[in-house]
Amino acid sequence: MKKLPWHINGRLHVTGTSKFIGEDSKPEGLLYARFLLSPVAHATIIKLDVSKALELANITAVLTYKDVPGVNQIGHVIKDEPLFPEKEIMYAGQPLAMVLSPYPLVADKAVKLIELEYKELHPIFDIDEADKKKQWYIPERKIENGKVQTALKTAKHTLSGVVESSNQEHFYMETQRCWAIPGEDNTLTLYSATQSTMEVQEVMSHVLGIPANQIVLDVRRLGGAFGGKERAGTLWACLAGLGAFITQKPVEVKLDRVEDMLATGKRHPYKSRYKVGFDDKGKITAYDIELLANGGAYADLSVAILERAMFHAENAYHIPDICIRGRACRTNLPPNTAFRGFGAPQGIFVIEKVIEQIAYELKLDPLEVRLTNLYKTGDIAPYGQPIKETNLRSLFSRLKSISDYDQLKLSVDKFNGHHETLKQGIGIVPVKFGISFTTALLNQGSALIWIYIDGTVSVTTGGIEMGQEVNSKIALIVAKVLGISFDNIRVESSNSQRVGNASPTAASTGSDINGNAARVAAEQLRERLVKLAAELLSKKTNKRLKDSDILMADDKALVKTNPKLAVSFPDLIRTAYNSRIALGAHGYYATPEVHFDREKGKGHPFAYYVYGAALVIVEIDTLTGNSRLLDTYIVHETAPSLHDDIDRGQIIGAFIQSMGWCTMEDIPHDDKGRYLALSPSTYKIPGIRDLPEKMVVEMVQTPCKQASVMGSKAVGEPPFIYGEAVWFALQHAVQAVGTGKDLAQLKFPATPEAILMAIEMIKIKSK
Amino acid sequence: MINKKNTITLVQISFWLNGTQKIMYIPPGMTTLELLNNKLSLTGTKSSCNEGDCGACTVVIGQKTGSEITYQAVNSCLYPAFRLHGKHLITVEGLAEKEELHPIQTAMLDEHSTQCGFCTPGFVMSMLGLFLNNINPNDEEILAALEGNLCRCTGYDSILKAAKKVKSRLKKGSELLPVNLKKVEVQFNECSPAFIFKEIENTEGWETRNCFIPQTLSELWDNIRSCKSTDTCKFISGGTDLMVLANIQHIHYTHLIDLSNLKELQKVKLDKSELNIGANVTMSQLMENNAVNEHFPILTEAFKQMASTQIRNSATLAGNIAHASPVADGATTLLAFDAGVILASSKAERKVKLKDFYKAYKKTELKTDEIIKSIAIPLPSEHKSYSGFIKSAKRKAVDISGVVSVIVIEYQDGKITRAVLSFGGVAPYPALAVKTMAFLKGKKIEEGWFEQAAEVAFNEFKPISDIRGHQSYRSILIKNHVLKHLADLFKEVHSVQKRSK
Ligand SMILES: Cc1cc2nc3c(=O)[nH]c(=O)nc-3n(C[C@H](O)[C@H](O)[C@H](O)COP(=O)(O)OP(=O)(O)OC[C@H]3O[C@@H](n4cnc5c(N)ncnc54)[C@H](O)[C@@H]3O)c2cc1C
Ligand code: FES
Ligand code: FES
Repeated sequence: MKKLPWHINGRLHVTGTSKFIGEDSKPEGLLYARFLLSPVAHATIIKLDVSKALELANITAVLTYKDVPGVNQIGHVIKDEPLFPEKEIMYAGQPLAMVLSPYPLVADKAVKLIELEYKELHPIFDIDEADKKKQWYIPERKIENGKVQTALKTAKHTLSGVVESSNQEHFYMETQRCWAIPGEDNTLTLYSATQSTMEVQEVMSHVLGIPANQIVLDVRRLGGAFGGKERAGTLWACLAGLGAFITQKPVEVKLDRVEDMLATGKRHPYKSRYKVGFDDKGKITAYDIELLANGGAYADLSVAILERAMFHAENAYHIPDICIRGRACRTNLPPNTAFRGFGAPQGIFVIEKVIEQIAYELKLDPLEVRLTNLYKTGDIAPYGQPIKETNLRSLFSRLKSISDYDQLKLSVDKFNGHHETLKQGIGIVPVKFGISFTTALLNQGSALIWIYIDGTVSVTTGGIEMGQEVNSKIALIVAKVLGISFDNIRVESSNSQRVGNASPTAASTGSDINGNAARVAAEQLRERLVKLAAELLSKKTNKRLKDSDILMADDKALVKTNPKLAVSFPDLIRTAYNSRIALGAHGYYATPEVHFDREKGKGHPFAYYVYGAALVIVEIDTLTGNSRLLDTYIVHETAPSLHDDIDRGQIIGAFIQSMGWCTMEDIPHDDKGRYLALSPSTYKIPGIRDLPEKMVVEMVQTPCKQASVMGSKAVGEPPFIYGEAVWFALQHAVQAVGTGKDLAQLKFPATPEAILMAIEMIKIKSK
Repeated sequence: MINKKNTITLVQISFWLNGTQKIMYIPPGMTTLELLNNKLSLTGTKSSCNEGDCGACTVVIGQKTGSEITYQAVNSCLYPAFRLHGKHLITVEGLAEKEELHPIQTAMLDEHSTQCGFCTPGFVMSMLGLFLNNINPNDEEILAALEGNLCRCTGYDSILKAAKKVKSRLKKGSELLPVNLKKVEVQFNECSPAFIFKEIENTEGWETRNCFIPQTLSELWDNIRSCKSTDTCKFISGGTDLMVLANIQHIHYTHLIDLSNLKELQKVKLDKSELNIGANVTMSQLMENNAVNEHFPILTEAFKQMASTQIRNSATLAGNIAHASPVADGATTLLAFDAGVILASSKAERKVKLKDFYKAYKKTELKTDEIIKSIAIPLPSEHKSYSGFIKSAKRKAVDISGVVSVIVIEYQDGKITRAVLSFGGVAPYPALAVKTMAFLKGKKIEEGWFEQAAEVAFNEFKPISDIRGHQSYRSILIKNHVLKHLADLFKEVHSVQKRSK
């Protein structure tokens, strides 16, 4: 097997020489920003007096909304979010004022001298209360197919219920930060921790009242983002930019972990009510589902996230009569935001819970109920998109065979029969994940490639490198197209001057969009070079070579039929330059075929789907509620992968992150709306001991017509769904405690406490 | 003119940084992480939590203790920079030799163990700490070395594989340190232990303005005496509690008194009746100590489930006791073994049993001019005995207990002759379950009354609700811990009986 290239920046990472934001040599006169964050969730500001803070020695400036030269507005699609609140505080942790000083500890002291008086208003934290009070950013959304009410009436069996899932902190290892550097002629360069250079540039230009071309965004890499820097980075970037613009000095904004966890939005908690109709085999005939999202103080991306939750409400199952309604509700929590999966995990969790409920009612194997309902090629999704090629069924058979499912079930039953205080459970979850931004216009991207005179290559795209290794993939693509080695390619920072109007790197589309744009650019260059090579090599033989006779490979242009006849890539480039052939190219790519009509709830929102399924076995200690993840089997479709190790890393990383969401990541708030777990000492994300004892990950690499760049499929978000299998496995283990009369009432997330309390309930009932 | 009110006393330290000697003045409140990132422009060592929980800031410290040269991974965010004096600070930047990567770095690349890269330097350094001490670690030892590092991207699988690959590639006698780092070992003694101080204006706004680093107890008493009433003086041992308070809750003291250089506090002594643990001995040292492992294996078990390798390399039992956290695992365990603390001041020494040490939430017997000098644990009697440690926390490793309990049972002829049961997380301080202990005494070790015993314990405490668990959860845990302890006791007694038959 050919050795796959290392992570394109891996050498820098392992030697500690890669530079994250704010790690370059400090610019002369750098000012540090510190913030007064609101202590309460909802209040009217009566007084905000910064004069005492300004009197302190070495304080350069203290800024509030009064200092915003342009519009005090950072909302993007829905314009409802001020940079600093003027009258109404909307969430605990909201920045109210910014202190700038060359000495961070002095700035901290000045923050304490700011005088704030406020009158508290009634805060809303609860989804139902917000919903009842019609606190919606936009009216209810609906996707409907068939006649759900009629179908419910005629269904053999019906069930209804409420399903809740909770929030999750991104816990990117690198907290929110930005360096803002003022330049000549009122220009400003922002080194921002953002997944979206275009958005920050546009919003910053409004805040400062200067044109976009005076603002440069430059992002080399992020230390993790997971959606938490798609929109949530904008606020901090704009604050840094404001500080630098006003003081004309470089400014560093860098949140510490506590501030980051307190002030930034999280994954949306959802509360959903459903009615489901099904037959004796567990075939779902009708599904009426209402998804309510707790959006936090401002709209942020809540509406788009809700939309994706709705698009995934039926997950991998074909349901003929279905009605999906969704409302995103405004509350007084920090604006909840994008997080890997973007609503899909919340939508899918509901239907998977419903499937479990049905299996329980009918005393069927939940796996069989899933099989009964699976989509087939030719089915149509509720929003009208045909399911073109699905291998769900074969993924399931593969899963069954690698886990030796029938045997496994027996052994788990046997184990549970023999053990009083230990119980095991199996959980299974499939995924069908739609790839594309559901806001169709975002599905476009650009790339800029330069081949320098020595034959080395520089590539810029709008893609933000944040650990998903979009840059490694882009380099692989360009290397393949130009037939040169990976090591000769640099993928540069994402910079708005080199690639403008970049869509956010999100929705798992980073490699598809930016990789395709890079491919298009590289293909233009290849075309020019092949033509030149044909001319050059023709001179060395007596034949007139056509372009199609030339192959670019192994750092050469060579004649396919006679590989010895070749010109090296550097020589070819030098000749091209001398012959005045352009060695730079801009590539543009727009994903074909995606559209969606929000009014009608119909369209073709996705370029394609990614499929997969996971099975896990857990063991719980019924006296402590602690659990162990035993075996994990994942069968995941990648189509021919660009890089196996990268995709495997994404699959496992997403699974573990999701397992954290489902089992241990718990971030409650107090009655003032302040989050209570504000650091890793109380907010537990999975650690190395939480890995399953055995993990089998199979990547299905069968080619697929709908797949994207160079035949590959997106991989960032879909595997996040697999973590839910752990929750269902835990539910089964708890179920095994009692007589089986009542379905275990396990809360989300299934922390040891939640598990123990669910066990207690069963014990009490069966007494 | 220096404004007298606002001055700060810098400490001059002399240390090696990746093989090169550095001599510099630093503020007493500065952490090693701040020193690296802000003063030395070395940014490979990352900050992600500033409280010892993520491992992104892991560095390795080389030092000479007695005649032995040791290397240990620590969290640089909790490691006061003045402590670097006379030591070798090794950071991720020091490992590659020109173009040649360190075997740990190569393995991380081969296994694709890095994604965003932010956690990577920390993992590299934790692995270095591991392999410097153990060239052939087993799986459990690898996990223990890496449990203190968080990664949000990879899901750890590739990182674990890298560690195993390093192990498979290392041979006996493989040198883990690059030559230019190794070569300074011979100079470790040449660093003068005397500190030099310099007063300057406190422009940067430091809260901690002074530190004392006594080498002997008599120096310590002088230092304590020299503190004025306007000063807030605080002892620091491992710093794993104190530095968290400083970094996160911004609780600062004007004067730090560093106890870690006091040789008198560094010994573990075993005599006929007790084990005496010097206040400075770290948890990692205790885990390696033969006397501890022989007489109190449960203490070693408790350490294994406490914090992370990086923390254990600094943390002391004295700090665990003095910090007086209601969920202190160490104090709870010592309580069950009827340990006492030797408290010393310039005037006197006294011994206080742990069960009498705690007065109220975060209130102890300790007077402000008193230190814990050592911890004395009576050796177990000749009787047959059983002991057990159970910790309930949200996560398997590096998590603070919701409820922790330790049981010590002595028995004869199948009957309990002495029972001690201690709990953390159920009262304002680590507490004995006195009623349950009374109930247990004299009971025959056979099933039938276990539920009753659990009920007694359940009724004995009224725990509070907090972020680590609601009251009802904790109450059920109290009951279930007792059930688990008794089931384990039963199993042990009966398997022992079977064996002896
Ligand atoms: C990530 C992390 C995980 C942790 N996990 C656990 C855990 O699982 N279980 C647990 O119990 N604890 C845990 N801790 C807490 C901490 O590590 C322990 O309490 C440790 O034992 C404290 O010892 P230290 O030497 O570092 O104390 P320091 O921080 O140096 O001191 C703590 C307090 O004790 C005082 N003090 C220290 N030494 C003396 C002395 N000789 N005489 C008088 N007073 C003294 C100090 O003035 C201070 O008030 C964790 C901490 C961190 C950061
Ligand atoms: S920064 Fe997290 S442990 Fe030091
Ligand atoms: S690689 Fe991103 S946190 Fe570990």
